[in-house]
Amino acid sequence: MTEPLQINGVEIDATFAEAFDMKATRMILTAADRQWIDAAANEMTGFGTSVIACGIEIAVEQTLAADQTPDGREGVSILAFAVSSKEMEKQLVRRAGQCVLTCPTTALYAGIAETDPKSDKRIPIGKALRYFGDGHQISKQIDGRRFWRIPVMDGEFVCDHDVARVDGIGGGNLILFADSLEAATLASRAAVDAMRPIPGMITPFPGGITRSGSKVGSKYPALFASTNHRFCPSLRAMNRESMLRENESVGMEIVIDGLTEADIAAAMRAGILAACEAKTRGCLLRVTAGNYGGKLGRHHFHLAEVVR
Amino acid sequence: MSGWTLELRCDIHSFVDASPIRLSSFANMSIHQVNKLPLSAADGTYPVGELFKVSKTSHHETLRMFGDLRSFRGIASEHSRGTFFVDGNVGDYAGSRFCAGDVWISGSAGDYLAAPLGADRSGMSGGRLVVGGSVGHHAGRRMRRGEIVIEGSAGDFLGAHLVAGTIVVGGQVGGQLGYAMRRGTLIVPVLPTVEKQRFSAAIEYESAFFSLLYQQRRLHPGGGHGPSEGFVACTRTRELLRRIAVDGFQSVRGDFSVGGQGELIVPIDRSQQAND
Repeated sequence: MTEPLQINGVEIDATFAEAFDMKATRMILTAADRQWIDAAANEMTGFGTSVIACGIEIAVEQTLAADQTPDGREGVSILAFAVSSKEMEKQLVRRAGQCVLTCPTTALYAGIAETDPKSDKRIPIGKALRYFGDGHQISKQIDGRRFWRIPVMDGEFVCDHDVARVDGIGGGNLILFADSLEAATLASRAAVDAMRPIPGMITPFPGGITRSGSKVGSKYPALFASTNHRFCPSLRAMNRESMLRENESVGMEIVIDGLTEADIAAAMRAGILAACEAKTRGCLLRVTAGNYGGKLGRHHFHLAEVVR
Repeated sequence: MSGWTLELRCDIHSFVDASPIRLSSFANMSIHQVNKLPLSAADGTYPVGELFKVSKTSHHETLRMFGDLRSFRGIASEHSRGTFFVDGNVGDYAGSRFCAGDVWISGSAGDYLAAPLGADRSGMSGGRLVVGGSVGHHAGRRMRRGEIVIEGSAGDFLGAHLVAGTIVVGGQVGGQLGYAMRRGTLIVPVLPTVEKQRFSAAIEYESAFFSLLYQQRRLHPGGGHGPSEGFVACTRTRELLRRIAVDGFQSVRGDFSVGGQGELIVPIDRSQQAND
């Protein structure tokens, strides 16, 4: 029998994270200063933790310097993932209209590089928002790319006509078990901090971390997801299916959505290594991952392989 | 090979209709056929081969003309794909009914640049036309879409009856700028004198668009690759866009006489403001 993989005394389960195909896109948000950027980005990505009830998983991907944005102002890139193009369109048009157009000095651009020929899978931005201009909106093409200038009270809101939609992957994950709340928090935060610089992926939950790991289905027919009782310490004593081991009293999960398998694997690797190296005084006990036996998604990230 | 080069062989003193010289027409023609293609002139008809030395090149979807072509009217007419280079001056009606692709003229152009021909109501409807020198009167007349970049000066009635699109002029402009324009953008270095009944007073406001325009404008042909790089330097127009992006701009709206809401954009002169 082979010894279980350990990193810095933390056991790495011989299991895999199961992820599935999603629709994805990237947008670039700029504004006159960092305060407006953060205000608009926080609004746009708010209530975007899980497709289970938010309709979309959305978060800031990277902070961008002035020379990394289309209009030469500082900004952020935002990644969004949804289960269908229809839901993606519904969510992004609403969020762009209510959270970015409304915020002074902002502009919103497509962040997915165009292919040649241009992809016909598009999510509207200005195409839908231009009508707010009430006939005073101006369309402009720059090198074949169409933008809209919509008059607003501080000048103009500028945005791309639309943005390409691409295939993405949702549901990459890590679950960290510790013997204290403090240790789980420190390890999880270290993992998320290590993932953050990696482009092409987001961790959409609050602070990048969630405590409400779920399973498919429920005893209540109306719910299609419910708490994963196997990982809840409060249920361990009365639950034969519990997957918690001795001393494992707190679990936290990091869900990762990415544009490619490589992006998610890189994030998982960085996260595992950072969590195991975090100064938790030996109280982080185990790293595992959530899966559905391979029945739900076609992307399987084996922990031993991603850290190899 | 889908590229063509036409080098002017001789001086010609009568006006020649150059509109049959088109990439789209040449696509399915041999050199022999192109040489035989007739061009109408005031004093008769000339085959292309008599006026030009014609050769094929390996540059994809590119037509290059060399020589002083001031006697040639309608160069790059109905250009609809690829890149059309002219190394020299061109006559009237260059780029007429131009709808897609790029046209680069290193020298100057005559009157009615990208304007409609005859009774046509629609001018240029897409693509980009760059002129390294100056242009005559009525440039961009009835333009509907696309952009015109003029490094030098422009004559009277620039952008008259403009419907949409963008025209940038690095040098001076003549009178009746934007006459009867409905929409579209004219970007010029100095605030022109305009009739108060037709145009608004100059106002200042903020827009990320002109920073975007400056950052994204690809003022070199073919993405900077291949033999066309640096064909027209666009130094003055690029500096004009930079000033607008950095220092801000003033906007004049009109032409109200036709219910238009086009815009004339000029940079704010910060040095003048400091002196004031």
